[in-house]
Amino acid sequence: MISHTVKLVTPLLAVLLSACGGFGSMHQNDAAAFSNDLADAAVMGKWARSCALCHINGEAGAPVVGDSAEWQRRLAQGEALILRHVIEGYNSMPPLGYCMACEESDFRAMIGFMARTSE
Amino acid sequence: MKELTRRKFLASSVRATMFGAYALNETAFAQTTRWSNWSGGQTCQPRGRYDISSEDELARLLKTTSGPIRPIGSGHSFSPLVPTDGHLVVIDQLSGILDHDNDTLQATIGAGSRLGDLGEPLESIGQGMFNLPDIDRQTLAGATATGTHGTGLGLQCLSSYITSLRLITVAGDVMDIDASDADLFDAVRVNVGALGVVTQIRLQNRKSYKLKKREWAAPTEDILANFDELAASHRHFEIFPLVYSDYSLVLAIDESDEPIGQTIFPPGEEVSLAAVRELNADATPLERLTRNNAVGANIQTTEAVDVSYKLLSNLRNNRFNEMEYSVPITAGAECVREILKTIYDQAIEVGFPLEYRYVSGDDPWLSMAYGTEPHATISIHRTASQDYKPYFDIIEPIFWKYGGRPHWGKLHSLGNKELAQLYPRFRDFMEIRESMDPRGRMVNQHLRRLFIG
Repeated sequence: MISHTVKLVTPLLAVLLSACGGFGSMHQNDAAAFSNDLADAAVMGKWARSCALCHINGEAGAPVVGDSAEWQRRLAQGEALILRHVIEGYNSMPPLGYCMACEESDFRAMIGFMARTSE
Repeated sequence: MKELTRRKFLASSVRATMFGAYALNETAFAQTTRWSNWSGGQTCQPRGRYDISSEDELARLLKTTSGPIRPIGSGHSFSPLVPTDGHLVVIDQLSGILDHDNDTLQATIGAGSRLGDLGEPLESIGQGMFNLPDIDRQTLAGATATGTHGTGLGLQCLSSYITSLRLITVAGDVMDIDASDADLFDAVRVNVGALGVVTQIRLQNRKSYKLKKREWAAPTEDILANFDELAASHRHFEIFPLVYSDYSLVLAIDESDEPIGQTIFPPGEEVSLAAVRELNADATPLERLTRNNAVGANIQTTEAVDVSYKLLSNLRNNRFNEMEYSVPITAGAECVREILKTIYDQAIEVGFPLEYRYVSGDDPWLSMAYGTEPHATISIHRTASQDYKPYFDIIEPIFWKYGGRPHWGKLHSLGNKELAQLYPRFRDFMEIRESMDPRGRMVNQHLRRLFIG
């Protein structure tokens, strides 16, 4: 057992004090690169202030915008299931994906945007 | 034995069904998406959402609408501050640094800004916040409204660094409030979203700075015996007492001029947290104690140096629910001991460590460290997928026994009669709330229990 526990330093602290941080406000700047792909500027703004936090860099296992294979795999599960995951939370993604202003229609547009961007 | 990487462990530890089926009040609300907080522990079906893009829009809206509203930050409060069948008021478009002063080192910030988005822009103007909580996804408005604090015997809660703020009242009036407003200023800095909607906050910051963080493990009793001295000798000092263990994780942070960097571990370190969990799953308290002590004794020291905001707070990936109380520091160690003993004696199924730290006394009326003396704060956590109530119901009376004051954003079961005994200016706050929102437009069921009864 000790042979395992000796190695626990970083992971144990990481779980207890866990962080996926380190990119500060970077997501808002990077999100501008996609702004032309989402017709509704208001929805794009919501995406940039919430979803982009993890979907730009793949924090916490989030599918990255532009990862075509991963988005196709997710889309194969059906939009309804993906939408449910967004609204109810899934794995490390909190309910509503940090978008307190988002309605279901916004999430549909955002999912489409992230999936289309990968094509 | 199955081994997991750190990332996979983090993901697997929070897999859960967060919600049962919920009954929509069908047609009337069918167009509005259900709301849930970060942990999934609080939900509601709002009538709608007001996504505010300017102060003028907010003021106009408050003047021209009626019905219940609740302002919302990023949904990180574990307590039911938000749930409403009225409208949610979202202010995350009111964000960013609006102006700053290089001489006073103050900055006016959109209240909808997330704490994690402020470090970089503040650094770019040579400023840094004095302190941060360990979660940085809250909005500035939400963090200050709930009296959120960081760690440090010489550091006060975030709200104490407010020099002025702008409040849009329930009537739609714009109020700029600062220390010259005396009681109102002391009430509004920690307002639990009950006095109006805060749209901008001017913060007293300091010159941008670097910190050095050191983490290690040590016997809990050794640390508790010297906690006052340790807390006084570090800018930030806290421990995470491991349950079913004689050890704590220890975290000390101090200012540093050393180069930015961190302890690097060789490949192969990301192993086997699952092993500990699996072994503990059906273990007796004594078996857990033996195993966890072996873990504690073998935890190595890590160090990191970075800009302050990169070390003080983090994004949390593993969702949980939390209860936190402050107690006088003279009672802190004994309160921690009693909680640990209770968990052991009652074999409570919990893996999260406690969190124990000191904060400076301060003067916002509803701050959990209100007063001239510093306070110790103690947190307990429960993974979001598990029912927190049985565990928290057992521990909460221990906090009461030591005169504990609850954190407004975290779970507790107190009402205004008990709270008025704990917060010397609580009834004054209730009076100001009544005068600013006599019809209770901003009062949901939880706030009614807190402030009306």
